[in-house]
Amino acid sequence: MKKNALLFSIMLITMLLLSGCWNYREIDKLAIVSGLAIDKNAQGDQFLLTAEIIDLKETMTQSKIASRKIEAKGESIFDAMRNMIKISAKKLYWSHAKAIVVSKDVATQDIVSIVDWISRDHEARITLNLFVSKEQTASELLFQQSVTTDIRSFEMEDMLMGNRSLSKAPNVKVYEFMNDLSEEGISGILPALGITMNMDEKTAELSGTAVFKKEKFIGFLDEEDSKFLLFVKDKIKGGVYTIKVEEESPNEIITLEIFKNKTKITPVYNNDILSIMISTTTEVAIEEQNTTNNYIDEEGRKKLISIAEKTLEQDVENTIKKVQQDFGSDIFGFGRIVKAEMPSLWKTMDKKWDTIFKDLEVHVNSEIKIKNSSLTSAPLKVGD
Amino acid sequence: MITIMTPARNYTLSTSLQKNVEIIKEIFLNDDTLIHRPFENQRNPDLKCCIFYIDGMIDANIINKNIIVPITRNPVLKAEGNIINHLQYQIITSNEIQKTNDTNQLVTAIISGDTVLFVEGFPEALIINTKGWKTRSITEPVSERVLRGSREGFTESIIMNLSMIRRKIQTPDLKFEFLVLGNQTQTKACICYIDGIVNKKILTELYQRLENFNLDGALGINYIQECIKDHPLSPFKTTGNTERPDIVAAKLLEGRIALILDGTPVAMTVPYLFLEYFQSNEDYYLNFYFASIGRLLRILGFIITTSVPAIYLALVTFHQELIPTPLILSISAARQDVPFPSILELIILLTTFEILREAGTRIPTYIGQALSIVGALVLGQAAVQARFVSAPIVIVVALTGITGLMVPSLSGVAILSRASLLLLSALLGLYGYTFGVTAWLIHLFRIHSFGVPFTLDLTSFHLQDLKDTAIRAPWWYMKYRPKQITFNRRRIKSD
Repeated sequence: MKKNALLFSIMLITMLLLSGCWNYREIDKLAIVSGLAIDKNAQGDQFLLTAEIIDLKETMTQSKIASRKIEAKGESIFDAMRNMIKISAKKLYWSHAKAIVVSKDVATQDIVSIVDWISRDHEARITLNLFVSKEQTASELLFQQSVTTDIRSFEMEDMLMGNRSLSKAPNVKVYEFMNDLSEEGISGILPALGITMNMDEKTAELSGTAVFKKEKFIGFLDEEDSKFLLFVKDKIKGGVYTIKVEEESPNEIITLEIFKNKTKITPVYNNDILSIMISTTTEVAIEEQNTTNNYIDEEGRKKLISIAEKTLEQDVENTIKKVQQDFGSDIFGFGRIVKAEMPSLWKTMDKKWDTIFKDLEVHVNSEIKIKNSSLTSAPLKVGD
Repeated sequence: MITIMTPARNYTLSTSLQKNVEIIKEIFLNDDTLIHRPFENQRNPDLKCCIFYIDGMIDANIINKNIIVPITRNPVLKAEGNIINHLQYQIITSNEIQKTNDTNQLVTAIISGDTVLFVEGFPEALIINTKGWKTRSITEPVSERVLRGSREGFTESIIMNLSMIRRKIQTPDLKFEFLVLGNQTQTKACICYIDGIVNKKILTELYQRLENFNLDGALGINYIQECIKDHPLSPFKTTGNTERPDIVAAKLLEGRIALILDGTPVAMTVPYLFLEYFQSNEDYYLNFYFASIGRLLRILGFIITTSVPAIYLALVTFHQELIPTPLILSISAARQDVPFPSILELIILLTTFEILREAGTRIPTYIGQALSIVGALVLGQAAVQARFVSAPIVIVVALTGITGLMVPSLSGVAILSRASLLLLSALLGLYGYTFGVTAWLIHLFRIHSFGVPFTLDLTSFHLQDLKDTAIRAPWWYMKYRPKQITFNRRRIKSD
C-alpha cells in the first residue's frame, strides 16, 4: 500500500513536471523585437532580415526607449533569425513584435514561408501586422524618421489603428490573411507602406492595399480604391467621403464623415448568368462644405443624398471593375459568398472562377442616411 | 459548580484547631503567600478561631469587617453548642458561605481567593467568599478597534467577562458551564451557549475534546485551540478568537459556542468557518453596502497578498508574452543591470518586509517611526537607486505587504501560501502557480471545524446561504441562521 502510494506520487510529480515548460528566463536577458523587415538579396537565394530591437536605457530619473537594428542573412527565415544572435548576444524575443514588412520580391515569392513561420513559431503572434513595402526594399521603412514614438514598428501598428477613422488601407492581421489564403473564392490583401516626405524628412506612411492572387503579390490598389474595397468588404468603421454636388461647378465640394456602414452582398443567378448585388447602407454627417448653398433643409438634403448615393455607387463599381481588369483576383470574396449561398452552383464553377470573376456583373445599390450636420443647422452666410 | 482535582492526598480534619492548622500549613508548605490569622472572642477566649487566605487574592476589608470584627467583638458568643452553625448563619456577614470537611475543597477555596475559617472543636471549616484582587479595567481591545461598535473588551477576569456577555444576552437560555483546565494551573474556563439554538452535537463534541485536554497549563486560549483543533497541522485555524463581548454575543446568537478562559482576554468560538476570517464586527454596525464593499476588499486583499508575487514572477520569467508591451518595456528597463534573478529579489524583499513587520509589532511605538523611515527610505528607495533591486519588485512587495495587513488573523496562512506559490511559480511559471492554488483549495475544502465544513456555503447557490458570505445582506433579509451550525434556523420571528 505504501509502495503504491509512493509510486503514484512519483508518477504524478514527473507527469506534472514534464508537462510544463522549463523556461525560466529573466526579462533583461531578452532582446525584445518590435518589428522585422524581410528582403531578398540580389541573387534571390538568401533572405535579408532586419529586426528592430528595443533598446532600453534607464537613468535615475527617467527611462529612455530607443530602437536599434540588427541585420542577418540566412537560407530560410528562421535560419536568418537565429543568425541574429551572433550580433545581438541576447536571444531575440518575438512575442511583442508588432509589424513585419516584406518587400515586393518577397511578397511575390515567399509569403507562404513567412506566414508559415508566424503560425508555427510559439513566440510570434498571429495578430501581427504584415505590410508590403512599396519601396525598393522593406528594410528602408524601418530606418525612416518616426513621428510619434521612437519605435518605428509600433508606429506602423498605430497607423493601422488610427486608420479606423480614415479607411484608406485594410487592417489585416496575419491570421485573417492566412484564412483568406487558405479559403476558396477569396484572395488575400495586405496593407501597403510607402515613404513620404514630412517636414523635409522621409517617413513611412500607410498607402493603400497590396493585392495577392493565390500566394503571389500582383500589385497595389491606391488609397481611394482601398476605401471602396473596404466598402465592399464591409470593413468601413469611419472615414471621409467627399462629393462634388453640382455637375457644372466642380469646385463645390461637400465632405461627409462616415459613421457607420453596412454592406450586404447577394449573388443572383438568373438565366444562367451569375451577377452580384451589393447594397450599402451608410450613415454619414455633413462635416464640411465650401459653398453657401443650403444642403441641410429638406430639399437640399434630398438632392445631396441622391447625388451622394449615385457617386458612391459609381465609385464602388469603378473599383470593382479595376480589380477585375487589372488583377483578376477576387479580393472581395464574391466566390466565397457564392459558395456559401449557392453551393451546388459553386461546384460547377469553382475550377474556372478566375475567368468567371473577370467578367462578373456587379450592381451596386447605395443608401445614404444623413444623421446630422454637426453643430450647425444652416450653411455659413456670406454677406457683402 | 467548580470541581477541582487537587493532588490526591487525603487529610482528615480533626476537632483540634491546632492540628487542622498544621494540616493546612503542610499542604501549603513553602508557600509564603498563605496567611494564617488566629483570633479569639474578646469576652470568651475559649472561642478560638483561625482563618487562612492567600495574600493578594482577597479583599482585606471583607475579612476585617465581616469575619474578624463580628466574631471577636460579639459580647454574647460562647464556645458551646454547635457554634460553627451559629457562626455560619448568624454572625458572619458574607454573601457566600459554605461548610465542609473536605480538605481538597478547602484548598481549592483558599487558592481561588476565599477565606477558610476553622473553629476549635469542630472537624469542619467554613469557606467564606472574600475574593477581591486587582483587575484591569474594561478597555477597548487594541487589535479589534471599531468605529461604531461597543468599546468594551474582555479583561483577564472570567467573572467580569461573563458579566459582559450576560448583559448583552438577557435570557435564561444563555448557559454558562464551568470547567477547569490545566493540570497544574487549574484555570477556570466557561462554556457559553444559548440553549435551544446551539447544536447539541457540536456541544458534546467540544466537551469530549476538552476532556482530552491534558496539558499542565492553559495560560492562553491558544493552548486549548491547538489541542482541540480538527486538523492539527493545518495553518488555518478552525476555532475563532476574539477579545470583544459583542462578537461573542453575535456568535452565540448564530448557534455557536464560546469558551471563556480565566486569565486571558481572548475568548474562543466554535465552529469557525473560513469566511469568518473576512468578517469584522464593524460589518454589522455599518450600512450593508459599505460593509459588503469592505468585505469584498478584504477577500481581494487576501488573494492579492498570496498571489501577486507568484503571478509577477511567472509573468516576468516565463510568460513575457502576457505582459502588455509598454509594461514589459518599463519592467525590462528597470531590470537592466540588476545583479540578482527576479526570484531572489522577491525572496529577499519579502523576507525584509516580514522582518520589518515583526520588528514593528514588538517595539515601543516611539521607535516605530524610526523603523518605518529606515524601512521605506533605506530599503526601498536606496536599494532601487543603487540598483540592488528593480523598482517593480519594490512595488509588488509593497502591494503584497499592505494587502497582507488587511486581514491580520490570516497573516500566517498568507506567508505560507505566498511562499509556496512563489516557489512553484519559480519552478513552473503560471502552470506551477495554478497547481499551488489547486492544492491550497483542496486543503481548504477538505477541513472541518467541529464537523461543519470549513468552507460552508462557499459553493452554495441559494441566496439565503450567501447572505453573510462575501457580502453582508441587510439585516431584515438574514432570516436564517447558518445551516449545520444550528438546527433552529429561523432568526426572525415568523408572523
